[in-house]
Formats: sequence, C-alpha cells, structure tokens
Amino acid sequence: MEEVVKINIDGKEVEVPAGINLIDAAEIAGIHIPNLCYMKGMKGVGACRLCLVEVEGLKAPVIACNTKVRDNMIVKTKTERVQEVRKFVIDLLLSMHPLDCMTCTKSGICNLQKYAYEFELKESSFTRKKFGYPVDAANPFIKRDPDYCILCGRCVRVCKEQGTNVLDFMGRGIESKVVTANDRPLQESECTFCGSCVDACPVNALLEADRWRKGREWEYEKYNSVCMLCGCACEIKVSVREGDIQKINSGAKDGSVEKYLCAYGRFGFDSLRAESRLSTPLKRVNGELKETTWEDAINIVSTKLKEAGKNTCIISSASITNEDAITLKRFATEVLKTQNIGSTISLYSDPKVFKNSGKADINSSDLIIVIGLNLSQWDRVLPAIDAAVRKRVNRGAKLIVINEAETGLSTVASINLRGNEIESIKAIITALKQSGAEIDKQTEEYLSDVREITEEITKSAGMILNAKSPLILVSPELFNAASNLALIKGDIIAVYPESNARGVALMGIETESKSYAEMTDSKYSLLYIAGNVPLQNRPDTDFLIVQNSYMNDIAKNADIVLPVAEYLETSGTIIDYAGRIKHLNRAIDSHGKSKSHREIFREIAKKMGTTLKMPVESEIKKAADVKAKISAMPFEKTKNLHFEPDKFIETLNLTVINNSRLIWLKEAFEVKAEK
Amino acid sequence: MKVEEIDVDNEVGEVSEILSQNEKTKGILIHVLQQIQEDMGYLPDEVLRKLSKKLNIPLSEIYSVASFYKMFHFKPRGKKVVRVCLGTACYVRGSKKVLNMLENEFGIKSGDTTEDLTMTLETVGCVGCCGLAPVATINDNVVGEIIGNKKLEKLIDDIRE
Amino acid sequence: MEKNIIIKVCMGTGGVASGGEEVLAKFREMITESNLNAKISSNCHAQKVGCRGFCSKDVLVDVIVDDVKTTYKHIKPDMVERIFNEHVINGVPVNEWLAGPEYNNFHDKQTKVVLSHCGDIDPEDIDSYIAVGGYNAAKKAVLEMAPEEIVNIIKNSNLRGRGGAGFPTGLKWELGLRIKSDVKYVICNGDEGDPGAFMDRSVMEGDPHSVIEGMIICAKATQSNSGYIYVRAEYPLAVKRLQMAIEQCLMKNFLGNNIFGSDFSFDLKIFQGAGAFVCGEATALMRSIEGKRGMPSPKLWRSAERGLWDKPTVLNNVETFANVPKIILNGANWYRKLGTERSGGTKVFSLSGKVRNTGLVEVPLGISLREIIYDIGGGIEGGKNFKAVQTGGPSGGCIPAELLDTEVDYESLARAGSIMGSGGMVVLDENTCMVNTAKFFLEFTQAESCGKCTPCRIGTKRMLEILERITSGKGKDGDIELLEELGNHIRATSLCGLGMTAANPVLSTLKYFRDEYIAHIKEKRCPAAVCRDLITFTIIEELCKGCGSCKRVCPADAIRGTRKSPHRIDKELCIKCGSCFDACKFKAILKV
Repeated sequence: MEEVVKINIDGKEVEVPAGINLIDAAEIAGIHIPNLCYMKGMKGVGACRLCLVEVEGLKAPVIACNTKVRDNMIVKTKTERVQEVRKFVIDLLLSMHPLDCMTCTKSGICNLQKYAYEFELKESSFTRKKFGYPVDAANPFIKRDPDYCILCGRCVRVCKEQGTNVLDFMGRGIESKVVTANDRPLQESECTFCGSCVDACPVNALLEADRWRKGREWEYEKYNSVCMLCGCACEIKVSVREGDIQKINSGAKDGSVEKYLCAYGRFGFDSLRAESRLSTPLKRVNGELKETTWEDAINIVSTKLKEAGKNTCIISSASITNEDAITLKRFATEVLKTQNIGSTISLYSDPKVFKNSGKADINSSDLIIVIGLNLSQWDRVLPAIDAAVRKRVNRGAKLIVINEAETGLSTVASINLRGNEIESIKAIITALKQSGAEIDKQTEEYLSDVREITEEITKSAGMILNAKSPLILVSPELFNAASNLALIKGDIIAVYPESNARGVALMGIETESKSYAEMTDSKYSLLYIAGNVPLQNRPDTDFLIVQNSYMNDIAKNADIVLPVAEYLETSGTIIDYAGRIKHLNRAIDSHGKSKSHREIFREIAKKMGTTLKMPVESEIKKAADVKAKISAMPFEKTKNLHFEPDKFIETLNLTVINNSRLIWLKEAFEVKAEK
Repeated sequence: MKVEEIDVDNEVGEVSEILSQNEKTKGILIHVLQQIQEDMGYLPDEVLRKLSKKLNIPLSEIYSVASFYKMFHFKPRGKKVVRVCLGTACYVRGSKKVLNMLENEFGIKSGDTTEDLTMTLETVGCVGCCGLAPVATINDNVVGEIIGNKKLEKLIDDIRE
Repeated sequence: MEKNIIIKVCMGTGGVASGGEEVLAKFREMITESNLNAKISSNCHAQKVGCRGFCSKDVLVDVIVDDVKTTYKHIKPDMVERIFNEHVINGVPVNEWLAGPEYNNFHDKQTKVVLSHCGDIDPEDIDSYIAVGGYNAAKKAVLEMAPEEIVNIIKNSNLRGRGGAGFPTGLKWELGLRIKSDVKYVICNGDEGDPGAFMDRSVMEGDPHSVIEGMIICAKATQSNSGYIYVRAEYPLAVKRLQMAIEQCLMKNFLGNNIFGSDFSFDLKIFQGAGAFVCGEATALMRSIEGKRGMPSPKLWRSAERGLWDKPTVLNNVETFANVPKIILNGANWYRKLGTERSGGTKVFSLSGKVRNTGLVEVPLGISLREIIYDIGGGIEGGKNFKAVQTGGPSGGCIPAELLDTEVDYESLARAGSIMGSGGMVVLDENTCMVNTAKFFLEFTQAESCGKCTPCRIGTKRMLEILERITSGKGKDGDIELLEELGNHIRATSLCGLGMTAANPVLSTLKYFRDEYIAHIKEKRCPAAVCRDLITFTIIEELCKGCGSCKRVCPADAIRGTRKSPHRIDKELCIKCGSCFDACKFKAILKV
C-alpha cells in the first residue's frame, strides 16, 4: 500500500502520496502553483523562484518544487507576500524579454505570457535590455532564439536526462546562455533533433523551425494518437489547422520517462503531402501504371483473387492497426480461405514470443536489464526506449547491459556484461542459485557448462535480488533464453522494430508454416502485399498487388497499386511492446482517394460476396489480453532471426525520410560521418 | 598533460575507492582543465573533445563547467595581455589611435591573440589613471602617456620583450 | 657569552610583493659572508615568516637578539647591509628605520589566538610549528579523546563559524558525528573572496599547519576519513604552503593511515578553485569539487547529512579550523571567556580603507567598532571625519558614526543592519560617497552572480543600472523606492546567501545615508564630490599661481591660462577626470 499523508493547501484538505513535492501535491488538490523551471518527474532546482509558498510554522517562504509534503502540513500558495514576489520575478524576466507577444508563435501557450497576464504586467517596471544574440536557424527542425530564453534550464535538464547531452549553460550570471558545446550550430553537436527541448521550453526560445505563421496554439485542433514509424510506438499529440498537420509533439504524460519523440515521429509528417504519395488506385496497362477508379481496381483485384484461390499469398506489414489486422485475418480465412498469410514479424521474431511477452511500466522499474539490444537515439534504433532507459537510470534505477559488444547504453550502465549473451544469462542464473534463489527444475536441467562466475556476475545477481521490480528488455531472438531469468524474478518484454508487431501477432496474423523469406521466395500465382515491407524487387509471381501509401520500388513493380491512408489519417488501436493498448485518432483526412487497409479488404470481400464483420473494441481487448506464461526454455538463440535493426528501421521508413525534411538529417549525418 | 595518458584513479587519489567512476572522472575534471590550461595557455577545442571521450563527460558539460570559472579561456592567450583603456580621458587623448596602431602592428583585432601567442589585445573601461592618459596595461602594469611615435614604439617593444 | 640572533623576514603575499625574497636572500648572503665573525654566522639565522598583518609597512623585518625583538619597517635589500653591520654585528639598532610606536600599538591592543604564530614561525617548516606546541592538540584528540569529548569541548567553547554566518561549530560537528555513514568528509573552505579581505590567506600562508591540525581534530570528532581544503585560484602561495605542509604531515604520519600510531586514518587533499566567488557558498563549493559548475543548490538536506557526493560532510572556514587546536589545548572555558556570552573567542578582521593603520587585526568578540578603528587602526587618515564602516564585504552593510560603539559580534552587527561576514572591515571617511560605495559592492556581486536564480541574476543587474543612473546624474523620482523594492525582494527570493545578501550594501546605505541618495537624485549633487558626472572643478583665482601643472595634465585640453596668471577650466570641455585636482600643489582647484 502506498503511504499517504494528509495536508492542507489553501484550506483544502487532501490526501497525497508521501514523499512528493508541494507542486505535485497542490495539483492533486486542483491548485496550480506558478512555476517556470519545474519539470514533473525531475528534481526541483529552485531556479525561477516563482513557486515560493508559505508553510505554517516556517518564517520564510519555501520553494514548492523542492519541498516534500509532511503529514499535517499547512500550505498557503496565494498569500499576499508570495504573490508579490512572484509578480516581482515575472517583472524581472519581462525586463529581459522581447515582449512581442502579438507576433510570437508561442503566444497562447507561453508560460511567461500567462503569468504576466495573471499578475497584470503589461511591461516591465525596469529598464529593458535585450542581448541581441544571434538566432540558430541553420537546420530545418529546431530554431534557437536565446533572446527569448529565461534560463529556466528545462531544455538543458531534459537533454541531459535522456542522455543526448547537447545543451548546457555557458558562462555565468547575467551573461549565462544555453548553448551547445562551444556554442556551435545544432547540427555540429551530437543533436538528434528529437525536439524534446522544444516540448520543454516554456517560452519562444526553442521552437519548431518552420512554425512561423503556421498558426498558434488556440488555432489548432488537437488529436492524441500514436507514432507508427518504429517499435517504440510513442504517444503523440497532433496539431492540425485547416486540414493540415502543423506540428507533432510528444503525447506522453508529463513526468513519464516515455515523454519523448524522435525526429522521425516529430518531423516526418511532411511526407504525407509528398509527390510520391499515392492518391488513386493504379493498374498496369501496356506495361505502365495508370490511374484508375476504386471500382475498377477492386473489380480487377477480386477477379484475380478468385482465380488464384488457395494459391494466393498475403504478406502484411506489422505497422498496421489491430483493426486492420483483424479484418485482414478475416479476409484471408473467411473469403480467401488461404493459410498463406504472414507478416514481416518473422524477419525478426517468432510470433509466439508475443504471447509470452509481459506487460510492465518502465516508469516503475528500479532495475532494467537490457539483453541483446543495440538501442540508440543516434542510430535511430528504438530511440524512445533508449531515452526512457537513460531517464530511469538518471532517476535512480540500476541498469545491467548484457550484450555481445559494447553498446551506446554501456556508458550509463551499472554493469556491462560483454560477450555471448546466453552465457551471461546462464552465469547470472547460476549465481542467483548460489545465493539461494529458487530455480525452476527445468531451467536447472538446461543449465550446463556455466562459465566462470565473475565478480560482475555476482554483482548483477545481487542487484536482481535487491531490486523491487526488475524489468528485462530483450531482443526477440534471446527471449526464450532470457525467460529463464524472468522465471526467477522480474518482468520480461520483447522489444522489436515495428510499431504493432505484438498487436498484429495477437490478432492472429502469424505464419503457421512459412516464414517471410519463404513466402517471398516461393512462387504463388498471386502475391498481395499490405503495407510497407522491406522488399524492393518483385518476387516471382503472376500477379502482384501492392497496397501502400507511397510509390516505392515494390509498388513500381506491381500490377495493381491500392493507395492506403497513413497512420495519421487513420483511427484504431495498436498494442505496444509493453503490452499496452494505444489509440490512434485520425488527425487529417486520407490523402486523395486513399483508404484504410480495413476499408479496402471489406470492399474487396464485399465484391467477392462476403460482408466482413467490423472489428469491435471488445474483441481486440480479448485478443490482447493473453496471460503471459513464461516457462523454462533451452539456452539458445532462436534461429534465423538475426537482423540489423538500424538498417531495418531505416528501410521501413525510407519513404518517410526521403519525402520529408528528414532527408536533410540523413545528408548532414553522412557528411559528418565522412569527416 | 597528455589527455590520453590521464590515469583517473591516480588523479583522484585516496578517495578513488569510495567514488563511482562517474564521480571520479568529474572529480578530476577541473584539475585536469587547470593542467591543460597551464600547458597550452588555453583550452583548445580538439583537446576538450579528446578529454570528453577519455573521461566520458559530454563535451557540452565540459564547456559549461569551464565557462563558469574565470580562470579558463577557450581562445589562446598571449604571454602579455595588453588592455588599452577606452575610458573618456584616454579616448579624448587618442587611445583609439593606440588601439588601431597595435591592431595593425600585430595584425589582430581587439579580443584576439597573435598566432605566436606574443600577446592578447583587449580594451578596458577605465583603469583610474586619467592623468596619464592615454594608458594601456601590460599584464596589469600601467603604461601611461602613450603619445607620439616614440612612446608607441616603446610600448610595442615592451610587448615584444 | 655568545648571542643568539634570529632574523625574521615577512613573506606573506604582501611581503613577497614588496621584495621580501630579496631582503631575505640578502640577509642570508650577509650571514654566510660574515666569516669575519665565525660566532655570528653559527648562531645567527634568517628565516621567512608569514604575514603579521601590518602589510602597509612591508617588508617588515624582526631582528631578535637573545629574545629581544626589534622590528624594522619598509626594508629594501639595499638597507640590509647597514642593519646587519650596525645591529647584528655591533648590537646597535638602526633607529630611523624602526617600525615605531604605531606598530606596537597596532599589535598590543589585539588578542592573538588564530594569528598567534603568524609572522613568528616559518610556515614552510613543520618543526617550526611543532616547536611552538603544534600538533599536540591533534595528537591528544586522536590518541586520548573520544569524538563526543571533542564535540563537547567545541560546543562549550562557543566557537561559531568564522565564514560569516556564525553557525555554532560544535553543533555542526555533533550532527556530523551523529549521522552514520561509511564515508564522511571534512572540508575547509578557503575560498576567501570578499574584496579586500585576506584573513584566511594570511593564515593559510603564515600558519598552514594550524588549519590542518584543526581539520584532523574535526575528522576525529566526526569520524571522517577524508578531507579537502578548497583554496581559491588566486592564492598560489597558500596552495604551495599547504601542499608542503600536507607532505610534511604525511612524512611524520600526522596524516594518512593510522595517524599518530592510532587506528584512525585521515587523508587530506587540496582542491584548487578556478575563479568563482560564489564557490564560497557551501553547496556551490561542493559542486565545484564534484567537477560541476559552482552553482548553489536548494538545501533539501543539510550538508552534515548529504554534502559532497551526497555523503555527510562537515564544512568549516579556515579561521574556524585554525582556532580548534588552541581550544583543545587551552580548554573551552578559556576560549569562551575571550568573547561574549553568545560568541566565544576572537575574530580576525582585515582593516582597510581610510584608516591610518591598515592590516590584519585579531580582536576578542564584543570589542567595539570604535576600539578597532581608533585604538588599533589609529583613527582616520589625514585627520578627516569618520563617516561609516563597511563590514561583511559585498554581503554586508555600512554602519554610520552614531553606531560606532556597536559591539562586534554576530547579533549586534546584524541589528545594526550589517553582518559579521568573513572579516572585511572598510573604513570610510567624509570623502567617500555612499552611493558610489554601494555601487562598487553591487558591481562585484552582480559580476559574481552564478545566474541560476532569477532575482539575483536579473535583479542585481537592474539595481546596478539604477545606481549607475543615480551616480551619473540621471536619477529619477521613485528610484529610491524602486531600489528598496528590488533589494527587499531579492533578499526574500534568492536561492543562496550570495543573492539574499546582495542588496545589503544598498539597503544599509539607504537606511543611514538616504540624504546622499536624495542629493544625487534631486539636486544632481554628490555631497562627497566623488561621482564624476555630478562634480565640477573650478580654479580659485586667489590661490592659483599660474604654474601650469593643471594645464599640462589635463587630458581634454580644457584648461586655459598663461603662465603666472590664474588659469580657468572650460566646463564644456572638462571630462571631470580629476587629474588637475591631483596635480595642483596649491589646493587652488575646487571640487564640488
């Protein structure tokens, strides 16, 4: 049971969890304590001095961000004294500020503006001084304008906590400035352009580079959705004006270590309006792809499907929604009656893994064990998970990295176990056994030839025994071996490159008999590719249907191309790597005449004489709600699952990268690599 | 000091066994920066980059820490730091001319250092020696009444000395 | 009978700057070359000693013949030969070079505890310290005393933190002892940074072993095994002497493992600062040792619980530690009785400004400001009127003439609107402009603000701008009120001590010298005739001899006149630099 204390804030009695600070406690009571530098989830630094409150029994006001609740504490947040000093602090900040709210993009969401309004400050009582610092606008993602900066340090702390370490304070006193190392432009630093700093900035000092005159906060319709560009499946908040996306921010809860969005998720949306976007169905006429109507296209497809019958093969991407996946499964079994249906999942995982992969919240784990994963924000390998792990470590969690070679995370790990992962896992289990932990009998049988128990192994075992809730993040190929460890203690979660692999697997799209490779290598009379798959050359087939959003290499080789709505144009659900159902909300209309996967399947099915049932939420919940049951498994890697995650993710997102400002990033990175 | 040769434990000394690796490397950072500055006269970017890798401290943080303390400089400093006074009295008496003359003579602008590290040229508000205007200081020693070619040549000689 | 002769040459930073090295070298040369008289060369030796506080008379040299001490002032190398020949060899002191009665007055009225060995022993020689009883206290503490016993003595002595805030040292140590941890630290704060204050420097340079001994005793009392001395970058001599002292201690096993043959170990390391005044603040200092920006952090924990690297840490200032060995040896009662009821012992001040005798003075707490300034300091220079005394440096305030009888202790000075601070004491006379003085201190604080919290970062800048406006004749109605509002808010809202006290010099001068501010703003006049934009220079015709000195020095060519007839200043051209005023030998130039 969580310990609670009773406090009184502005006359309101509330019970709040013990150990939290006064800002968070007041929020529970529905009271906002003004602040500019506080960041939920992080330690209060007391820089802005706005959150001063009075506590009964204490002579001087205290900062709420760094004062913990005590039982029976009586707190007053709006006394004349503290309101006066707050007004004073805002007054001082305004004396350094451009005060151009009428044309400022951040107007309406700027905290400084909000408090100036609240304290009735039209301008500063003091002489104004602006530094006239140069603006860093040399990249298409983030504009830095230090003249607006109030030195709250939120961007610095966010950048540090997630391990990017690009921004920091330079100089001191009135001349302090937030800069990159040696005050170079962002692209000359280690910046990944994730934009976490933009989300953290309470004023207009850090902003999306292209926001000028693209609307202000109150003009936007907001949609909560999910990014489907990689296995992180980050929550996003999409801002739309006049039918177009203007910006995307992280949609995760404040204070969560998952509050992160990489450059792909944040800035890749340009590609939605790219020329290579497919807007109408295409069919091959005299060797060339020509535009056609949906009616015509569906006629052709249904005819071809009937002809091919059981010799049809469907390959789906795992970046489609649960609703699409269920409809596809029904389409295959009820209409086509084919067993030849599979997905890209088999490239990197045994679909069965997802039945056993657990559910856990990284926010509450105090020990994270990362096995066989080369997570990296810089190489864009599941960057949000890399950031989340680093943040947890910075908030006090321990980290053990078990990996063949050194990885990016090695530098922040408490313990690094290099060399063969299986051997390390075996050694840890042996050490746990020696410490008296109970080991599954079957596991013991599998344990053999354990290498030497080093000091680091013993230390790792000790950490596991001492941890309250260890979390194992593991690559699918090592899932089985690592299950033995989770059987002793902790949650185990498989981490993979595609956003809805777990959902697609649980909705029943799994290859019973053949792998992705076998399907693409075999000869079928008809091959139906749904979504983005890493195929460039046309497999040997009589008829190729490609259902995709972009004109890519494989689409160019198709006989029929069906345009699909992108994830930002669809609603639905997915199941993320941690087993959580996340909801997508359609933010903008589908491009041109494109339709969602499930609409297309239903229309073809209808043409073929079957009305497919609409997927309902309850069945998705039911399908998702598998009781993970891990069991002892032999200590070996699952075969044929090795792949290079960075290349794989880049290939999957090639159309997004090449058709958006992300191409700049790729080019800049290549230039840097050459140097 | 060679960045490659830094022995962290040795630098930390006796407390090394009770500190974490991170605490140790950060704990010696300021000391190492002092040594680099002593050897090179300033903190060169390429050395800080090496140091960042060696100590596993982000480059941005090294710059941030170093820029907090007055002692550290990121640009080379000359053996002589020459400050030309641009206070009212000196200005009226032609200190701008002195400044321009020095800029031409050494081929640098105010705020810069000559390539051979002979000197760093700066300006200063008022050093409180208006009676001696125009004045300049060489490593905090005041040189007054720099009027006429002879005095200017003497100043240049003193700097070159 | 053979005479025993010792020559002591002051080699504090002041002494070295005035040529102490050369003077000492000359004496040594004389001794070795005086083979004329073998007896003298074998029984006479010259040594360097630390600062004795009277730096305005440097180089000071003691010639001690069979315990009879004669002190010379302003000694230059070329004077050595005569002293040697007349005094050392022939026994007749060189009367015209003697330091004289003011030197004796200056010292006789002081009570030297911390400074008792400064200027007397060779700071670079541990045996010199041991010869005066050094390390007996540490030995006793380590070998014979229980930690609780030491804590009790310090508690009973009423020793309070000499860094400025005056927290009872014994209580701090008691807490340090009570907190259980496998690792604890003792830190000595030697980041003395107040402009014009050099008490700690003199102790570190003149008697480094006393600081180390105090730290050893503290380590034993709080059961800490590691320590740091944080010395500011600007004190290279202090670093050198402390480093030598530590090495000597290691050789004698006074530091390191199993010190004095006990089972107690204590390692001590010097951390050299890199130039940031704010590092004198305890949390900032610890961040600095940790290799971070020296920014203060909000005190969620007391340092005694979580300090350096989150481990329990006891941090005291140099002077505090230097008091400790004497307390252990002479007892708590002895020390307590030296001071007042609430503040035991003595305090070292660096007396400067418009006072006749400037230098370091050590006085029992409870002495009045008047006694320090007039009896020890010899009164105001040039017979001018006393206006105020500034204590506590940039964090302190100005105390006016009517409060000259204020007792010097933590509470009384606070009541008078200032603070004890680390020991800076600047005497101001009638020719000092109080607005300008306030501006001077604020310029300092503003430049040293770390920039973390808004009120200190921007607030001090805005205050400074207002003061600049006032002193340049552009003050406006309401500026005084704005200064007070700013000052009070900055005091109430800043994160650390530097910010909280930054406005003190302004607020205290506003309290006692408001009329000067009003004169600047309303009448555009600087009563002390200091603020350049508010003064005018005119030549008094009756006094002007027409010598032309003023005309020659005027950088703006603003003075007209022919030789031997009265000159005139063209007010349009005058840039008010004051050169003519200084140059005129006939006091013919009026500055108002």
